[in-house]
Amino acid sequence: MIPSVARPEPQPVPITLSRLLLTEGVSPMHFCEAILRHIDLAPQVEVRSFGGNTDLATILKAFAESSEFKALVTSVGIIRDAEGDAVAARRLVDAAIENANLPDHVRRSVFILPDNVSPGMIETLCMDAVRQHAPLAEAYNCVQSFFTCLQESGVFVPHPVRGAKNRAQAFLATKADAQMFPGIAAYRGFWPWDSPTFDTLKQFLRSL
Amino acid sequence: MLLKSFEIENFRGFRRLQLSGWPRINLISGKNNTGKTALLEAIYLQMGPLQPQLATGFAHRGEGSGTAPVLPMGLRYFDEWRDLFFNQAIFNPIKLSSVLANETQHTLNILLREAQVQLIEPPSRREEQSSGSGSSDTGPATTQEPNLELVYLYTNSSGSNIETVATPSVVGTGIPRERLAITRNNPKRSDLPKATFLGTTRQPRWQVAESFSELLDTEHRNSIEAILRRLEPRLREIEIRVTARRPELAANIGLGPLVPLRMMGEGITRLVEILVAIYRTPGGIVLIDEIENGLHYSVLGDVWKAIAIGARDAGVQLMSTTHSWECIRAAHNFFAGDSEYDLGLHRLDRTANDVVAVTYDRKTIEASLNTGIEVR
Repeated sequence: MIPSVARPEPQPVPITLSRLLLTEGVSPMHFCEAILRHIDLAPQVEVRSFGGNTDLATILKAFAESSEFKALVTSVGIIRDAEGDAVAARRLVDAAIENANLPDHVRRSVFILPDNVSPGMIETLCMDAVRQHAPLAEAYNCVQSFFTCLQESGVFVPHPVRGAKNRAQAFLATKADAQMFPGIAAYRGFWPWDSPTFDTLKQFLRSL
Repeated sequence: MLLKSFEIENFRGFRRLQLSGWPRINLISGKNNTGKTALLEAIYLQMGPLQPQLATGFAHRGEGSGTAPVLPMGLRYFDEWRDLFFNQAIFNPIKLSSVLANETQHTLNILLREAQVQLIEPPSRREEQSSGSGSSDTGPATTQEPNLELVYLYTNSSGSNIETVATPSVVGTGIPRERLAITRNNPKRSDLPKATFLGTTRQPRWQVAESFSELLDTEHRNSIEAILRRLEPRLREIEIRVTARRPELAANIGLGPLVPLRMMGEGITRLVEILVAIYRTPGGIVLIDEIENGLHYSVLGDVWKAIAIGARDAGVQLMSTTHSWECIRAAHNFFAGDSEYDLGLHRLDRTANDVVAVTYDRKTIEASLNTGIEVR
């Protein structure tokens, strides 16, 4: 049994920018902050986490009803993982937007990771970038070999979609400072931002 | 009888405001100058639809004691009524409408109209105006001010109309100018619930003691003491003691001499004030401006528990303004863990020309508090 730990209750954090980007969880929030910094848009986009996917509709409505949102926000972007089905994920986000009753003047944008079409998640996108980035290709091959070995030995068979998380963790384990989530890794500069794999996401962020 | 929906037109900063979704306990948030206190005032005025002197009392906001006056206060010029009207447009009537939980509808129109009688100017004012003229005449004289009276037109649940008129002192009545003459065309009584208003300024100790004294021979006294014992287990009884000819509340905590309540901390004094107001308004509405005043955030959970017990026991509906995130969180945490989620949160926002209300449901309150989204 996990012992209960007293945690400080959240304090209000006012919205201060007109472009608001909502991410699925804290690690993607850090990831987006880092990539926004890379493309020099960090001071223009406020990134907040909406927690888990089941919370999106309620959190988006709560944001939309805050006075700062009404006074400031002109553009809302939402980023979440496709998991097994990008179309279904997009449908759920659209329903949350509909439910939030956003003011007409607020632009809505949605990005389903990894590429709006394929199944997957933030780690899928990151490991695709690693695979296509020449200086990291060898590391990618090592990670692939590692999992092939595990699979052939009957030790572990990665899930066809969520296996990207295992591969990302293995790749990040090759760094001196291990035990990182993708968001912290993004702040440390471990993802190859200049890879064309990130271009669609960058374009989405610039269009907010 | 709980308020179900409430509508305001042309009152203070509200051109038009409609609010529904009022559970038993309601918090009203919003930035400064969005009309939180004015909303409480509007509800209070509507619950006293035969008492225009209440409007005169509110015209003096910020000048009086903590409790809204129920006796006529100084009415010197009709200008003092100006601030009650939206944009100070005194000839656009104020309209306050409510629907209660029993689906009855009540409407109060408040307007100024040309008085049917002539005002007199008090000698002191005439002397101010004529200083240097050498006049020694101190007899009655006609005022140069507009001759207006405040009219309350109340339509009760059965559709009867009752007109109550407040007129400043008039020639020949002998009523001092600082008092209002009240006339009514219909002997019927209001069928609205009673309301009590606690302002931001604390009530004098003697006034709280006086209010408590009305509960001495009732079971409500025991109820208040039982609630307070949850916060202060040593408390045996609350008594009224007289010091320097003034009554005040004191606690018997088993130490021999009574301990004045004021010596037991601001929090318990404030809570007693609130509980006394609740139990003196059975079945009615208690309105509290800035409920967190005098209360440390760490006791707010217990305070909400005490208020919930008292309000349910006395059948009271409570509306309070707040600026405090901790206060909203404590209220939510208490009601979320209670048998019934009796809490509503309404935030007022000022727009270019008006004020609009956002009413939060439980899920949105919870999501906002847990994610750090501002609700005030």
